[in-house]
Amino acid sequence: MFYAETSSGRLRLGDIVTGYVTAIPKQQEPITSSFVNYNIDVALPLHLVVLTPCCSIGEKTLSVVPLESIIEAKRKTFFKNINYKNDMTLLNLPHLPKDWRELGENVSFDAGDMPLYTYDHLFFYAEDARLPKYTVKLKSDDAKIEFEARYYLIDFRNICKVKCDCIASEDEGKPNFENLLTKMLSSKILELSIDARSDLRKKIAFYFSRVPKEDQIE
Amino acid sequence: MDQSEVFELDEPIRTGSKKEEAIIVYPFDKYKIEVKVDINGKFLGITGVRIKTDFIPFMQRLSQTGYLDLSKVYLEDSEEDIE
Repeated sequence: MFYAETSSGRLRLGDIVTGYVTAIPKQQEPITSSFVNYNIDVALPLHLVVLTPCCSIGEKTLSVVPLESIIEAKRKTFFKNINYKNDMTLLNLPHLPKDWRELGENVSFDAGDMPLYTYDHLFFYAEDARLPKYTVKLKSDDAKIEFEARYYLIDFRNICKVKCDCIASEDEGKPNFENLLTKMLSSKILELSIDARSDLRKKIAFYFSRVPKEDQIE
Repeated sequence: MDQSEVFELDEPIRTGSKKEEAIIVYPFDKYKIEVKVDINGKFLGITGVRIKTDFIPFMQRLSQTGYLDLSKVYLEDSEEDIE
């Protein structure tokens, strides 16, 4: 089960939400003198995912990342593997080399017994009727295949910060907390199950905890 | 637990196979109960109890996890793929 059957009544890490504006600065080069040659792309993505850890949600601040369809993310080649077409959340988990081979991947036999993540910057969201469906058109040899899908993904490289007055924690002791909570929950579309949220937490921890070779102490 | 309870088998035990009983792992709270059932899925007994807790600290498990690069296998869609 990827999504929780009922809402926990709070905003949680991994929630799919709507109604938050993102702003992405774009510039040609680092600004060291004149404050010019930049612009800001402002968007209202249909769906976003909360990436603030549950206990840190509050103080009018939320980290979010746009939820993209596999087509928008330009990753429809994943559908060419029947295993991922049937369950794209398989790509969220670390698998042993033998399990990757069963999924159709060519893993060298010196990979050992260590579980391996792939696409460590991506986390896939399972299909659900509450998410819009889209059409996938694939070319396979001479044939063209067309089908509908509802898989989505987030890319940890796209995390943005949103400031919103209604983002509050009960611990802040605001007298109007219940009113703010109602507004927060009006933005919530889907909540991850405990297991799926744990998978997200582990994968994002893996993504940020990688030590580059040059920093590794022998 | 009702001893006469019939458990649903993930895979039916086929008649004619040597296997006439099976162990089903049944999640219960923090535990995984290993239940032995007969060919019809009828309860025969409990063969073991395992705890679900992962005793390896999360950061240690993370340091023991590697990376499989599939970026050459699943190439990003080229412009001509996008209709």
